[in-house]
Amino acid sequence: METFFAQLANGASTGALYGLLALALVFIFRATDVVNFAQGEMAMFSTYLGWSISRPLSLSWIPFLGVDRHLNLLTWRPEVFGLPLYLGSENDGLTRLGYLVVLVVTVAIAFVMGALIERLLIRPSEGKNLLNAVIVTLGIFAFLNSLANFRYGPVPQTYPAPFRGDAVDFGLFKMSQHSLFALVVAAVLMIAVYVFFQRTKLGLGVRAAALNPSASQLMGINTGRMLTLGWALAAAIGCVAGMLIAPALSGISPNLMFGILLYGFAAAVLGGLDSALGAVVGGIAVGVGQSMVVQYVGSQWSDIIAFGLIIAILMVRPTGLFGAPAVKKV
Amino acid sequence: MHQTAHYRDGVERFVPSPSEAVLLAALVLFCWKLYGGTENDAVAGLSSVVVVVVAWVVGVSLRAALNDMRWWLLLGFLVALIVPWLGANTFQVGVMSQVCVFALLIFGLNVVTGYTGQISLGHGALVGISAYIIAILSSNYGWNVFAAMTVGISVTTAFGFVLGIPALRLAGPYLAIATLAAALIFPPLLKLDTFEDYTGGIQGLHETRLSPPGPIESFLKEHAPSDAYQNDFQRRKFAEESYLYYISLAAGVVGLVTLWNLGRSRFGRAFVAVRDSEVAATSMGINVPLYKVTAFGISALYAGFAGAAFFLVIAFVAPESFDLVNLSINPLAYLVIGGLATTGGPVVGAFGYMWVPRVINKIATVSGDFDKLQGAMTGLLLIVVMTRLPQGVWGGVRRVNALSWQRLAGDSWAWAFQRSPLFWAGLALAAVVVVLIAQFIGTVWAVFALALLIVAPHDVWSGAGDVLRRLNPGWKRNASIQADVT
Repeated sequence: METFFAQLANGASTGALYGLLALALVFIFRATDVVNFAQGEMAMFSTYLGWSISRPLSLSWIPFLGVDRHLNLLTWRPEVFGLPLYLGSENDGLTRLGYLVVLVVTVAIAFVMGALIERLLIRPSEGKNLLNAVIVTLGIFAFLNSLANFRYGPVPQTYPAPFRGDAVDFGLFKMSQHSLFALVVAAVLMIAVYVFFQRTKLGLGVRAAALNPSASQLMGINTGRMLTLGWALAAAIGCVAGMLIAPALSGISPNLMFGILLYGFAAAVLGGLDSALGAVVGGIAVGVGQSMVVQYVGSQWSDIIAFGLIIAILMVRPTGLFGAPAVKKV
Repeated sequence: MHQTAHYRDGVERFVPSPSEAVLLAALVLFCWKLYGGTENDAVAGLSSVVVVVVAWVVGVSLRAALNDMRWWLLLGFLVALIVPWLGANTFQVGVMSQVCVFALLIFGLNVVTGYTGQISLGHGALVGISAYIIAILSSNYGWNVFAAMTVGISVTTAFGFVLGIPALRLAGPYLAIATLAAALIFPPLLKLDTFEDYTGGIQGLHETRLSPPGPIESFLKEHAPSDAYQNDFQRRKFAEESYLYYISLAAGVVGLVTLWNLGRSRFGRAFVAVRDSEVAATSMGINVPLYKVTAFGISALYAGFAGAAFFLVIAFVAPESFDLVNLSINPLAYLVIGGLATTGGPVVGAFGYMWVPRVINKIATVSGDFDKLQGAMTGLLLIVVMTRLPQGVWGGVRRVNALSWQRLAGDSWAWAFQRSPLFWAGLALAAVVVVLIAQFIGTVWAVFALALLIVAPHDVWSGAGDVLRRLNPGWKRNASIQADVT
């Protein structure tokens, strides 16, 4: 029984990470109707940016120009209001405040990156065959993957976690602090996305722009800006997901995210592509199911059963567990 | 099929259209290369001229009979027939065989995604099922290869009908993910211990390649190009590869012709009707579920043939051969790049699928500049083609094909002389920036910047122009540019 609960906790925390990525997919799907194959790589790339920021200046502050190698900034340790951002002199030592600063900065960068990707690369394909935009996201996928391989190399890099203390004992099971943190962040982001889409005027605008671009344009919504916003926010959520996934696994590497993205797809579809709640619940379901199968059936069955179940569930509920049935006006 | 917009009469009949001029120029280059290696330049030049004049006369006299699109395909077919003699080594012939294999797969995807509008990411599994059944039957049970193929293709087609059942309930991205799940289940299933005796587990199954029958082998060996294949071993290799190439070419051509006819048949029209509006199709008396499942079945038939050809050409199957990206996602991507719901598009797509990574690899090795960024270049190419040719490459070919000299001249005049000075200033600035990047950061980054210039929508740049215009109200927005933007 103990292993059961341990696996449950384990699966739930991995699942929360799938759910976060699924949340980003849901965001883009609701904003532009596009299934974004590049989501995982966008998350990976922004996590790498965060990784380079999180290291002391001497290592790689400015990720592309390589200027950092020529600057002699080995001894500089930035502080905020006298509080240190780095622990001691180790490369991967960030204080909690430092982690927060890095998180905020990286999410901001990811936001801009998402907006630029939409504005410069996706926009020309909008309003055409839906597959065109999907192929463009495949192109972005290949581009970012190769760029990360080129800049950071294939070797996984350790990524700092904000909470590294002992595992919390819940009696029935133990959970590492990082997993708990990931669960909390997933829940908070899920609620935030739900509130954004259902309770704010901006979210309503984004939904309207996706549902009927021409009508919402007539209603005075700047549809182009809504689409850009959708991509930017999705990239930001994906960035948070990446920054939580990297320390939970063996670190960040260029090919880390594609496998996780597939589970993210599964989670998003399971929950219903247009439901924020569904994304996180679907993610946790996929994560728990996966760890149960690994524990009780055998690891080689995990993909077979996970994806087989997804097909089965879709056959019963064609728009996922929480998705609204598709209503099409003729 | 598509008819070109312009019919010529009088003297104009003897003037090649722009697209025909491109074809003739390609022919000149081709002849030059063919003769240039062995003869001196004068002979090469003279024979090029003769060939081109003959081609021109034949082309002009046959133009009425063959509409212009078929020209491209016919020429392609003629070139395809002599491919083994064009390649420098057997590796290239092997790649061309694989072009035919993947063309079959992409034809199948075209039926289901192009004509019927159902996105399938599960076709890798179908190809795998076919190839594996043939491999198991022929290597474990000693069946005749062609008998095994019959069974493999039939079973795959049946599986295709099964894969079509989700299409009745699911739409759009949900169907895409369901089929993707099917493709993801397939490789781990093969690796299971339970089936290892049959499937060979992770190692997969090896099979000896089909060797050509005696007379064909000796004919091919005798006629192998002597400069590239000098000893007997190389000539036997050539005969082997060419034989497999002709088998897969035959399969590919049959696939192409059937696809062409399918597109124009009752089935093809029904598929397109289902894609465009299910409600309208139903009200026209089309049994939508039946046609949806049939589309998957027909498409699986192609995939089954692709699997059979895959087994013949590669003679090795392993779970990793049928991974998601290589056999399910990339073929679909290259189908869209080639042109959805067209006949020529899948052919172009199959070429791109096999050759784009190899050509980029070649360029990278030669220039040594972006060795580690090959994936980025491929991705960028996907983005550029998809953005600038939304109908795919074949759509672009059609557009070029429908172009007359007058139209071309008019368009380029309009493009060049109806722009504001601001446009030219911007272009010059962009050129300077690209050159500076190439000079100081690296050629690769300059290529990236150039791609961004090509891809990014006009209004981004004209938005920048608007900012400048606000600073200098004297610059007026040009009417034709305005139309261009909206």
